[in-house]
Amino acid sequence: MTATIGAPTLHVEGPEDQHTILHLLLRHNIACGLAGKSPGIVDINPVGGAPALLDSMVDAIELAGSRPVGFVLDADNSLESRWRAVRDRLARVCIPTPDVPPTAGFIGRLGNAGARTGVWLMPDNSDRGAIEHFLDTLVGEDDALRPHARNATQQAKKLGAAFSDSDAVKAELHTWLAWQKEPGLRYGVAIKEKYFAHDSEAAIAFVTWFRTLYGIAELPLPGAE
Amino acid sequence: MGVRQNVDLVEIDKFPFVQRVLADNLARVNLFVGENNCGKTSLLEAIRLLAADSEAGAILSIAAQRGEFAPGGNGNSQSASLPVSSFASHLFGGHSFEAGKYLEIAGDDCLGVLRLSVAALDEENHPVDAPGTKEEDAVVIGIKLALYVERLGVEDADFWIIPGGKVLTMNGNTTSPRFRRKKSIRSLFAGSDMFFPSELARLWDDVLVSRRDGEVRSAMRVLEPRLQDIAFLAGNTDRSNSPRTGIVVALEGEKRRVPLGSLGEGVYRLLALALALSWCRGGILLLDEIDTGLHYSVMGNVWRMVVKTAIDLDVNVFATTHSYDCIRGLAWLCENHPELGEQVSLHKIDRSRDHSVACDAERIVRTFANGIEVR
Repeated sequence: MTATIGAPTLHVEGPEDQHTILHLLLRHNIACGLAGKSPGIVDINPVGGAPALLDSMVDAIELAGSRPVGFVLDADNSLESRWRAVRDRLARVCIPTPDVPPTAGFIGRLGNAGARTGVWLMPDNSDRGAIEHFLDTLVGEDDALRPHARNATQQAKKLGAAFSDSDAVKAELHTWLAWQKEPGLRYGVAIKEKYFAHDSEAAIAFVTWFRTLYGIAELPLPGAE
Repeated sequence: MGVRQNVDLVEIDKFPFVQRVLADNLARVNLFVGENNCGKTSLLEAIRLLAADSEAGAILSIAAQRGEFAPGGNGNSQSASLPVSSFASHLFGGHSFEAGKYLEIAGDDCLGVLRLSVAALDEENHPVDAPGTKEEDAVVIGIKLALYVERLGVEDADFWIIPGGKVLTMNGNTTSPRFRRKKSIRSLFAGSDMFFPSELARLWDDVLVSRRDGEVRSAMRVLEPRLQDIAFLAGNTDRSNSPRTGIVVALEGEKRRVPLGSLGEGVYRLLALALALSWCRGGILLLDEIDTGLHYSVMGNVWRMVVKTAIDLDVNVFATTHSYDCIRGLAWLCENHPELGEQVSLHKIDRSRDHSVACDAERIVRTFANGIEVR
C-alpha cells in the first residue's frame, strides 16, 4: 500500500509518536493514515528522530505544494533551543515566526497564499519534555496507580536502575502501563484501549491545533443536534 | 556527445490553472510531479509546441490526444464547423477563451518563444481590434474567432486556426504552414497511443532503416539480459484488437523466438520506451505517465534504461507521473547509480507557486528516505 495520494502530511519523530497521535486523533473522530501503510485524511510520517525531522523540514514544506504540512517535535531539555532550531528552518522558507512558540501551537504560512505550516512542540509548547509528558496529562488525577508507579520507579532508580533522569517520566509511564489489564501495551494501543484518556487540556489544545492546520471541521457528537 | 544544447528552462505565461509556471534547473532527464490539474501535462505540451516544426499541426495533435478534436474530421461534416475553442480552449484555461487572451511559452535559446493569441477576425480573416469578444458573440456579429500563432523572431510564422481546425496563413493560403529551424529538433510525445503495435512498428521501421536496432536491443537488455534480437512479423502489427501480437524476440538458450507478450507487459512497455528514445536521438522525448503498465518492481531498472539510453543517444527526456513507485524507482536509481542520477531532476509543479520546486539526485534520495510525499 502506498501513501494516500493528495493527503497532507504530519511529520513526527518516530513510530511511537506516529501511533500515539493516530490513536488520539481516532478518539476525536479523525481518521489519519500511517504514511506508506494505510490511507487517511492526513498521513502521519515518522522521520527518524528530532535531528532528521528538523533537517527534513525545508524539503517537506517546499514539496508539500498547496497542501498543509505539520511537524510534531519533542521540546526535550530546552523549549527555547528547540524552538530556535525550528525558527531557523522556517526562516529558510520565508515563514515568519514569533520569538516564543504560541501555546496553542504554531501555524504560519508564506505570505497570504502559501499553504499552512504548523509546528507543535511536545508536550504543550510551554514546557520542556517529550510525548510522555503529554501522555501523562491523559492519566486521570484520581488514578491510584500513577503515584505508586512514580514511587516504584524512584525506588528502582535508588536500587540501580539504569535509565537516565531525563527519561524518568517515560520509565514511570511504562511501569504504570505494566499494571493495566493487558500489561505492557504501547502508547497508541493503550490510548485505543482507553487506558489513557483523550481529553486533557493539552490533548484538546493539540487536536484543536491539528484541526485548524488541516482544515478539519469538528463533527457533532452522535446524538447531538 | 551533445551537439545540441539541452533544454534548461521552460516558462509558460498566462498558463491554464496557474497563470504562470517556470521550470528551470532542468536536467537531461526530468520528471514532473504534482496533483491533478497542476499543469504537468500542459508543461509537456508546451515543450512539444516549442519543439515542433509545425506549430499548427502540434496544436491539433494535442487537441486530438486530449480527445477534443478528430483530425481530418473522419468524414464528419460537423467537424468542419467545430469552434476553435473546442480544440484550443484548454490551452487558455477553458473558460477564458476570448479575443485578447494569449499564452506565451518561453524556452531557452534552443527552443525560442511561442506566443498564441486569440483574436476576432473579420469575414476576410483579418484580425479586428475587439478584445473580450467571445466566440459565441463573434458568430452572431459575423466575426470569426481564431487562434493566432507566432514564433517570435521567425519570419512568415503567422497563421490562423479557424473553425474546423483549418489552418490559414496570413496571405489566405490554406496549405499547411511549417516553420523550419536551421536545425530541426526531433520530438515525440508518447501518450498511450504510442503503445499500439502499429505505432511501435512505425518506430521500428525507422530504427531499422537508420541501423539503430542495436541501440534498442542494448536498452532492452537492461530488463531482459537474455534478449538477443527483436523482430516484427510482417502483416501482424495492425491488429489493434490483439495488441500484443506480431512482435517476437529471441532469447539466449531458447530455440524458437517467443512472442514479446509472453514476457509480460513491462517488457512490451520497455520496448516502446526504447524505440521512442532511439527515434528521438539528439532530440526531445515527452512521456506522459511514464509508469503506465509497469510493475513497481521494475521501475528502478526502467529508469536505469531510460537515463542510460538518454545519455548514450543524447535525448532530452521530460516525463510525468502520479506513481509513488515511479518516484521510488527514481530514488533507487539516484542512490545506486549516482553517475546516472546526476543526469536526473525531479520537479514538483504546484498551482500555488509560479516556480517549480526542483530536486537533484541528492534531494530526491533525501526526501524519499524521509518519507516526504512529493506527488
